[in-house]
Amino acid sequence: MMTKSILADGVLIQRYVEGSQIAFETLMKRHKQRIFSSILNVVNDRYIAEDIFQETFIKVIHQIRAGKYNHEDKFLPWALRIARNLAIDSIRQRKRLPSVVNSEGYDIFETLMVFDKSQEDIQIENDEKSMLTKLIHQLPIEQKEVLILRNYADLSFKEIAAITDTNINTCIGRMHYAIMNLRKMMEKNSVRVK
Amino acid sequence: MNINITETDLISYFYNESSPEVTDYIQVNISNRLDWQEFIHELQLLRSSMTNFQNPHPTSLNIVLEEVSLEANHSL
Repeated sequence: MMTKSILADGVLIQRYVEGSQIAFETLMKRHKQRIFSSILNVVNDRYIAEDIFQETFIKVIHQIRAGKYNHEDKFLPWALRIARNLAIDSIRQRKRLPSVVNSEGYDIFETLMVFDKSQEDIQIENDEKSMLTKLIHQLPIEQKEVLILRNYADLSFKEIAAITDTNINTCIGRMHYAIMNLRKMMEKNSVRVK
Repeated sequence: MNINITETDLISYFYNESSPEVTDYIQVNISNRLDWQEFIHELQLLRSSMTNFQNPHPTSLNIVLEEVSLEANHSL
């Protein structure tokens, strides 16, 4: 039986530096979903997220080409730091908080896979999760980005601390504040937590 | 041994980032602690509301790959 070996990020980057465009394509395809989802959930606008995604990877290319990548296999946290800074800049430029509904007019979390439940249960649960998603977008950016980087990008609190120039305790504290704020908002909006 | 477990300890535990000592303590005692169970349930609900991953449009990928080609040509 043939087994497909998975090359580490650092190896792909090295091969890209040596001239392999396929290596870079593999790297981008490996991380595109986590990086794009993280950007989208920070800026909450699909078109802006597409722009930031492109800009992030173009910066990644330039930095690697300039020999500025020295993070071995920590590519994802490094790329997310670039994406995060671009997303924060974008929000500052827009000078407003992200809206609840994206530019295409629908909630990005509306469809969730739920099994073995009645249609009514599924609808109720989707409504609750949809409301929770809307409330997440109302959190302060520092709290929201910890939730996004931990749950979407699957970074450790240590990695998030490095990206946000804080420490582990601050990151966990921000997540704790996010949960307390969501709890208050859910009570205010009479959202039932099942 | 008695450890004072806070909600931040439960957050670390939920994401498998608590110390072995704290992890063991929580696992041994959680069945008797409804408040811990409820908080863990809140974390589960939060995580389950953040599972709808999105992909960038193929155009974005093509734009980046064009840049890769351009950079490769420049360095020739």
